[in-house]
Amino acid sequence: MNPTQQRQIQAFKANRRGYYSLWIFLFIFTVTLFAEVIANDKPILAHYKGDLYFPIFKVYPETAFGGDFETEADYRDDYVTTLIEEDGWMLWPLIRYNYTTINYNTPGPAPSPPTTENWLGTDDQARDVLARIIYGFRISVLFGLILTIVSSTIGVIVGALQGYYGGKVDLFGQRFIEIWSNLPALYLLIILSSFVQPNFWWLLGMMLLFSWMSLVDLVRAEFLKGRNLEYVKAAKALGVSDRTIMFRHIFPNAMVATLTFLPFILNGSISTLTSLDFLGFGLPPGSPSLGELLAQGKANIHASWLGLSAFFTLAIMLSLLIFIGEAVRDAFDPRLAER
Amino acid sequence: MNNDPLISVHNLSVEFHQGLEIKKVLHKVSFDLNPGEVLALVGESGSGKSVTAHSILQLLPSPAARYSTESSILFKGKEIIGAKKSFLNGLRGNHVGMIFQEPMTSLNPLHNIEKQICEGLIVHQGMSHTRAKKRCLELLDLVRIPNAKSRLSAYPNELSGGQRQRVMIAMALANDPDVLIADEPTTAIDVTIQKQILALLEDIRTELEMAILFITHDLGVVKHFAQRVLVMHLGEIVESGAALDVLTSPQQPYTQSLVSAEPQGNPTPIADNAPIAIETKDLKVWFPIKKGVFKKTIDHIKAVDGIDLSIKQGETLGVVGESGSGKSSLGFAILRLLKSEGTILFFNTELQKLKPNEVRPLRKDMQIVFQDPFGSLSPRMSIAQIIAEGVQEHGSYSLQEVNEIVIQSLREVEMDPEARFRFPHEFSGGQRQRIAIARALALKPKFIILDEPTSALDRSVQAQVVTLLRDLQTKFGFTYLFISHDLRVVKAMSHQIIVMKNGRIVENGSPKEIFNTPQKDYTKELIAAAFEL
Repeated sequence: MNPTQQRQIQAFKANRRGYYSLWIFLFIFTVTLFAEVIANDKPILAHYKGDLYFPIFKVYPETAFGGDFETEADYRDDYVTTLIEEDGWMLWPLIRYNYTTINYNTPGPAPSPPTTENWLGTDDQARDVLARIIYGFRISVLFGLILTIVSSTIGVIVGALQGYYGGKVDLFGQRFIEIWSNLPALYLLIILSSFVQPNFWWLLGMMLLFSWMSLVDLVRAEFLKGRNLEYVKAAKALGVSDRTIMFRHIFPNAMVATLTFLPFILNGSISTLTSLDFLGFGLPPGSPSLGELLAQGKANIHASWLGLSAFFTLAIMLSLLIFIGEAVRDAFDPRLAER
Repeated sequence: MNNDPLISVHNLSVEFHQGLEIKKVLHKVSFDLNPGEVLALVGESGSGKSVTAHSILQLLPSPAARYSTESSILFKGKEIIGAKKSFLNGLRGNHVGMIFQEPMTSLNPLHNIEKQICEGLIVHQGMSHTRAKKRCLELLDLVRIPNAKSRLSAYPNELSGGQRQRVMIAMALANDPDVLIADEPTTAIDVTIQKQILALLEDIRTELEMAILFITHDLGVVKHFAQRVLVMHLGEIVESGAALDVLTSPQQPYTQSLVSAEPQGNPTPIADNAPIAIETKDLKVWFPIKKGVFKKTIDHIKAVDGIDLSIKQGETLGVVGESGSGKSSLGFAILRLLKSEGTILFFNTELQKLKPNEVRPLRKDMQIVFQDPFGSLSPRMSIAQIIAEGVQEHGSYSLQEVNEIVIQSLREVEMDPEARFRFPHEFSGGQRQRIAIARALALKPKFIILDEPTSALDRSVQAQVVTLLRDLQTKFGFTYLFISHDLRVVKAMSHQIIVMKNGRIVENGSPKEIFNTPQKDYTKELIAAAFEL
């Protein structure tokens, strides 16, 4: 690792808030990545008549445990539970609901308030709110990450080409972006949702069409500046190919600006997905989504746990990302490092 | 006039703290500056000259820069270190004026000359605008700016480098300071103008009876200008004394090496029947000036305007001229890094007719070394990666072979092959220029353009680089196009010389002809400025 990178890591650590935010975020994200093991309506492990079963990973018919049906065992059913526990045991996840599990034993009509069974209550279809938040967090962050990575890659490439070659490439590229960025993305999504059922990938694709432009200007400016650097000219004089010059010599300069922006783009992507879900143009019905939870909170003002849970989840997630972003920005800011 | 020193620096030690790193920059520097004298502070870059000057005005970044407890700087008997901000503000600009090195960036491009000069007058002396304007005119006359009245409303971009430096001097003089600190005031400008600026400073000093602290790396400048000289090396004063004594009979080995650091010798003669390596006919680089809605080309900036030259294999052609004369554009055009018109023959290959990807393989044979060794090496790559880059681009070598080429190239430029694992910022300017030369060498080129390879370097290092380049030429038979504004270096390097002005050749011939019997006034001027300082 060269001294610059060491200095950057030090500067990042020096921003305590961002540094701890990173660890907290990574912890939450890693935990939610294993959502199936944390919140599920099937046991992680079951021991029955001397054999081990892995219900999360494999479908076992009820008959395997001495039941009546050929269909998959419903482990939450008292009948099945008794069958298994007569001659074995089950290891349950922390939360015995996944995002679709309906609790038929709520104390009152759904949405029901928090109880020891449903820590954050249930939503209007009697599904566990905490389980839905865990799955929803995961899908939001994953959506955000994929969108950010793909759109940044496209943005960097387009910006690099425009900035490096300049002239007509730049001129037409910029005009195209000006026109393209004025297309109403939301209307297109609404129109789309009227003839296909938008799933995760459809949404990602549609968002991608319009989100790749955020980095173009930035990278383009860096490349416009970078192509006149002496060591870039030196590389040209050495006969190095354009692609290598762009990637090896100029891109590292643009990298700083790009990395600084990434957390904020990630935030933007997550908010976009949430707002689409909130409006009902997002993920298909039944998907665990924070936006949908927010919408439920709005529709059921009396069930404060819905709105509050969604609000705090989003607020904490987005704040953590912003704090991390600030620390990254500090790390790459040479002026701060010189102090 | 009383004879107490104006500024008295005693045991000044400065450290820079960066993170956990501590860099000692100055170590127990002591000197006095007496009224009315010119004291020159001489040393190579990094010797602590500027830090000393900035300490006097307390311009060093705190808390990164720390003074030792015994450091003391007295101005007319008052302690400056740790003084109150109000006292310092009164001192800066009012009692001590400062001129910076770079006249291009020290003036605010958005304000006209009048505003920039008057600002100090209005702030420090509470003058009214009309009085300030009057004083401003006096100052511009003092620094000999012609037609001062019409220049008041000019913006910095409308002035030449020399004029800008004059404006800077006028600003520094605005409040009749007792001391003028000049931090390399002539380094960034052309030799001919350098001479005028020095004469101006001398005039002003006698007229206004100021003391001048003159910082420079150029011993030649000091000789006729300063009464006393302090030679600095690695943050310490190694020698001091009257200017003529120090320069004619230096006592310390370091000073001796500085004084004798003139580039010397002559290029090795070449065979008469050597083939012509490169030839241009009517080479033109015109940049269009476009105006109006339809971007109609109304005129051209003629950077290079019809240059014919031919260089034999193993020969060095020196290209001389002031900044803006088109020297560098000529070099770039020959390498086809800049669009041009006319013929370029490289060993009888017409370069102009080749497509960009047909030129690329030829780049192996023609290389360039840039002026600024700080900018021309990618800061993120190790020395080995930098040197190997071109090699890997032009042929398939095994890692072993590439490594050997890198080691060999570093040996050729007299550097330790272990250097290949380090990064550019760990090296000094001279070492970096050697690395840049090694990068060009690694390709075993036939033709190398040297674009002011020595002008960003200290004098003593310049001489070494010139010797190195000449030795390499003798050894490998390189053909050089040597671009420089420094006639002393050109004289030591070139077989043939062309003098350029405004994109055209003013005069050409062998060094003997050019230096002994220059025909054109412009050439005479250049020579006078370079050798008679």
